[in-house]
Amino acid sequence: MTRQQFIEEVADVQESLRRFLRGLCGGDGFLADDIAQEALLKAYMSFNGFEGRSRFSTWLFRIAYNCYLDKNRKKNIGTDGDFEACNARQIIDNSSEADRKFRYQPLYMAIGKLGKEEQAVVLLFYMEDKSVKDIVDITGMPSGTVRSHLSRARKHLKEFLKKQI
Amino acid sequence: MIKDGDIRRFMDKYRMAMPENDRFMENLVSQIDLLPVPGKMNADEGRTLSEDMVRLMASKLKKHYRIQAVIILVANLLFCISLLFAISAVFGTGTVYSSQVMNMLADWRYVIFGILSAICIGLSLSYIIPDQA
Repeated sequence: MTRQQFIEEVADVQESLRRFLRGLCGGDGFLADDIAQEALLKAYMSFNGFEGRSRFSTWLFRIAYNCYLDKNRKKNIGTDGDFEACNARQIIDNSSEADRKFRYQPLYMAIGKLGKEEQAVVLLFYMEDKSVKDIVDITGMPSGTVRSHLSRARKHLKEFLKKQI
Repeated sequence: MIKDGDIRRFMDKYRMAMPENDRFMENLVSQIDLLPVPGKMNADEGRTLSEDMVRLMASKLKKHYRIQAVIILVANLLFCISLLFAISAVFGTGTVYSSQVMNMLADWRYVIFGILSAICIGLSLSYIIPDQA
């Protein structure tokens, strides 16, 4: 793969990747894009380590997810139904970003009470249309764990949607 | 009763779109430009698999083998052309021979020529291509 091909492949995947990270970061676009950029640069620098065992997009998602987990450990970010997350950039958040968060608030409320791993599984399965096998490759969780997270998340989402009606 | 399809419809409804005037890729590419190209990534974007194979074959034939290969190729070409003329001269069209063997050789002269040429070229190639270590 050439440098140009790498950039083209990334251009195809970046929207899906950033959307996934935004979901995990509770709608914080700046943070999600920071993590996405860090992940893609890491992917570029560690391209020698890509052995082609999984698809290129799956590999990128895996790196991005690991970057999110690292950041999460350091800052304790995410969707706990609390939109006043401790992030300095949110204080100077522009109005369009705030509008976007408001627009997608039902989504963040729906997944906000789920655990971090369940959120990741739900976003990958329902939002990004990934298969269970892809989710296993991305998150590193065993297949049985992915399925049980999905089952719990479905139950939670069904109850949430029932209340909406 | 809420079904899986309802969950999918909900997720589709709130599928986030990227903001307009998005400069993410632009910023990313400018950062990548500052980094060295990883070793595994092809630096030469014009190179193809066939070019790589030709380079590999050429490197296998060492210089003295190349000279021998050219000499043998020229000798083979001269031999084939001479053989063709000899066959035409010896076995002229329309000539009927008393011997049945000669008549058969005359009828099959070009086929025999082709077989002899192929044998010559095959022997030459087996001589000039180096043995695998």
